[in-house]
Amino acid sequence: MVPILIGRIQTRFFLIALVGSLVTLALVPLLTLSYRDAFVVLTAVAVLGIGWELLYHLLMQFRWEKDWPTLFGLLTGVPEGLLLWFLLTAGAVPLIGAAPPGWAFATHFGVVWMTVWFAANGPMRVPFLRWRFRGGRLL
Amino acid sequence: MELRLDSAFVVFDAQDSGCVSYGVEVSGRRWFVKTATTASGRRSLQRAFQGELTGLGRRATSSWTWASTPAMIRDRGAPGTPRPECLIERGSNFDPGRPKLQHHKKPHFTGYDRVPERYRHRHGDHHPRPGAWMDCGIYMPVGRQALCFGEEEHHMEPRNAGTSGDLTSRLIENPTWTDSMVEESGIEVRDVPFVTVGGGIGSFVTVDYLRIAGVPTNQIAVLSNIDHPWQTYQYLTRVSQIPEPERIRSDSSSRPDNIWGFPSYALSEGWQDRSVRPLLRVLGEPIFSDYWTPRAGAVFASLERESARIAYPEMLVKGVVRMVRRRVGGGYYTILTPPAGTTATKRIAYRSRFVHIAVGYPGLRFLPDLQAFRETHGDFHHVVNAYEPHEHVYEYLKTTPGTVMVRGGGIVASRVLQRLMDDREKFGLRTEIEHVFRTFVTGAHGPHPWSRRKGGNGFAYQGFNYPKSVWGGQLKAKMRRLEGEERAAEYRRMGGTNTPKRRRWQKQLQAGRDAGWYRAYRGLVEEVQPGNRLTSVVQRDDGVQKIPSDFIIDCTGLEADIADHRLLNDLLTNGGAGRNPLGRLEVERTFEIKGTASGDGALYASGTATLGGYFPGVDTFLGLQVAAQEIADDLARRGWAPRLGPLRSTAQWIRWILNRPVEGSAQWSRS
Repeated sequence: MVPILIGRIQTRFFLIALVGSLVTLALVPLLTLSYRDAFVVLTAVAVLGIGWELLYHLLMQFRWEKDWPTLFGLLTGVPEGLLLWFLLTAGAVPLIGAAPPGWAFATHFGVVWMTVWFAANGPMRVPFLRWRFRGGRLL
Repeated sequence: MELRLDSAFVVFDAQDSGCVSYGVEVSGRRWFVKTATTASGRRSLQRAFQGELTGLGRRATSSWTWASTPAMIRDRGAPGTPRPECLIERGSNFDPGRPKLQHHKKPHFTGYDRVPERYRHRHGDHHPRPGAWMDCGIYMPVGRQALCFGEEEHHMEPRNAGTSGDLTSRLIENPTWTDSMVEESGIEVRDVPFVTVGGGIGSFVTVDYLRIAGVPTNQIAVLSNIDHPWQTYQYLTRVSQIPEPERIRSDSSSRPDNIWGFPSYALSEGWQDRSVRPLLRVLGEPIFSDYWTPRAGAVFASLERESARIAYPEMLVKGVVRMVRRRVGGGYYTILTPPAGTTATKRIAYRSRFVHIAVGYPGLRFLPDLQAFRETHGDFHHVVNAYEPHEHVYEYLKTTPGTVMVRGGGIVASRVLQRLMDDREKFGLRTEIEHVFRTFVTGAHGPHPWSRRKGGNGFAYQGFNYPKSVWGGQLKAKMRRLEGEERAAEYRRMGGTNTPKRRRWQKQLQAGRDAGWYRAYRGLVEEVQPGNRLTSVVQRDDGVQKIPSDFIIDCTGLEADIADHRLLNDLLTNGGAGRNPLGRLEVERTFEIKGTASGDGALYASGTATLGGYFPGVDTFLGLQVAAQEIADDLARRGWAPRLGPLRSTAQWIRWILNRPVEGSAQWSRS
């Protein structure tokens, strides 16, 4: 992918809102996780993501191509998931009581992350023809 | 058999190329005879001659291309006509007054009796090769067809026939035309709202986009002198050492046959081969593996499928486009010279609201010292351009050990090196390689840690021909805002010759360096001298050196000026077009050519002729699609084409997957 900063943020919000929500709706009944908690986690991924995207954008500047390889998009899920888990256990995430069980969080976060990553690497281009030529901007 | 030129039924003199051609009839058969009368005519013939001998004309299709530049000579035979045999005579005894025919049916070099002394001395009699002769004549039996030699059309009919409806001096002199002026000339007028000129991949992706948006075929005309959109590309890849099973230098999701880029080529290949390997490669690129790129053959096959799906052949009109002129009252006239005998008038005028020009590379340019050598010594055999057929170099090296000098450090140099090194491995050859770089890159280079490209051993490394973000990311956004010198400076910053760092090439070159048969260095070649072997006088860091070699391959890929293209030159002279900071056609962000507006019409251009504009990657698959999208959106803003939105896009994508033909949109079916 060859995102620009605002494109990264817009794409993250859009895909988490659409794909992330659908996955969450389907997944929660299978996990010991309440809908409320699951959507708070989802929102946290989006909001914290602004910070992460700023960092990725900075790191991308060291790349001559100013691109963000597909693998990076997948692997950045690891530090993001870990940070979020740390914040949850530390009680730093508002609107959520206790941290959900670790395996439920890992499954939810992992499946959402993979689906969003997959959508951004192909299917997104089907309805949004101009998206990839605009650095990931939708608006 | 003797062809008596004094009995020619038609003579084509005063040709741009400095040649004189004749139509001669002998025993009921018609022959086209082309002879050179000037030095430039001779060069033009030699280029064509070399093209034939090195195998270009071997295609067993009804219409064949035969040249060192794409589509230079083209038979106008009807489909199904067998390829005419070609007869060539050349040599110092060549007498254009009374040529004696020698049969040359296939591109092999046997059967010639006049091998020049110079050549005999070097290679013996048994294996003559092209290019060592100073003069040549070309004879082709052509029936009642016309032959197009470069931009020149030769109608094989007596002069007094088929000349009605031609350009008048009034038309040629006036930059804008009224309907009555065209009517006066007797030229047949056809009305089509959208005309695209070129018929290569640039025209194809634009038409593909419009068709998918819902424009019916009767609203579009593609004016072209090639049969398939991929024809010129296929030719260029083949001569520059990318046979069909080899992989081109293009991203997996840059698909000229699929405007969505999904499924990518890697996904398609994985699906076809029932293998996840292509996908794993894409996942790991460029860190753990080289960039995955599609096979040339897969690209052609996919284009063929899409061409049928959008009914491209229905829109194709064959012929050579002579000029595009603005019409008083809006829109344009595009003058087409169709194949002789197919139309009542010599020219056809397409009257349209919109014209799109995608004519590709205006031509090749040689390094000045190599051009001087070729012109002075008439040697088109030992000094070749990588973009012209030069298979004879590799064939020669299989028979005799030799040294090849490679000039240039880009992708084509890499391809040529790969071919030389592959052949070395495969056939156990002892080929030596002298590689001269004008700019020798020793490592990562650039002014700032945020602007540093990898490099080493002379090469600058880059996955594709531009940094990836020109196709949609930061660089695209940045360039879009720049004007004039600032834009030119940004082009310089990210430009420069480069090649991908492929693991296989690295390994081969390292083996060559270690064993001493591959020698690379920085140098400026001052002169090339003839002799038993070629001698290049090279200014190196440690002084002037004379470096001998058997062949020189120019891989610099220099392009000719846009004014060398007749149509573009006419636009610069009469159409109101201007040049951008890099000297090519100045286009808007919408790819409309600045200064050429005509009423409610618009004139667009895409491809290499527009390099230097607000969007940098114009001469690439994805760049052509970016341009197509901008053009289609602009046409939608002007109220002509429907704007392709998310719903129709998704529905059409499903049709693409199912290989169903595109449908017209509701808007067109209402009208």
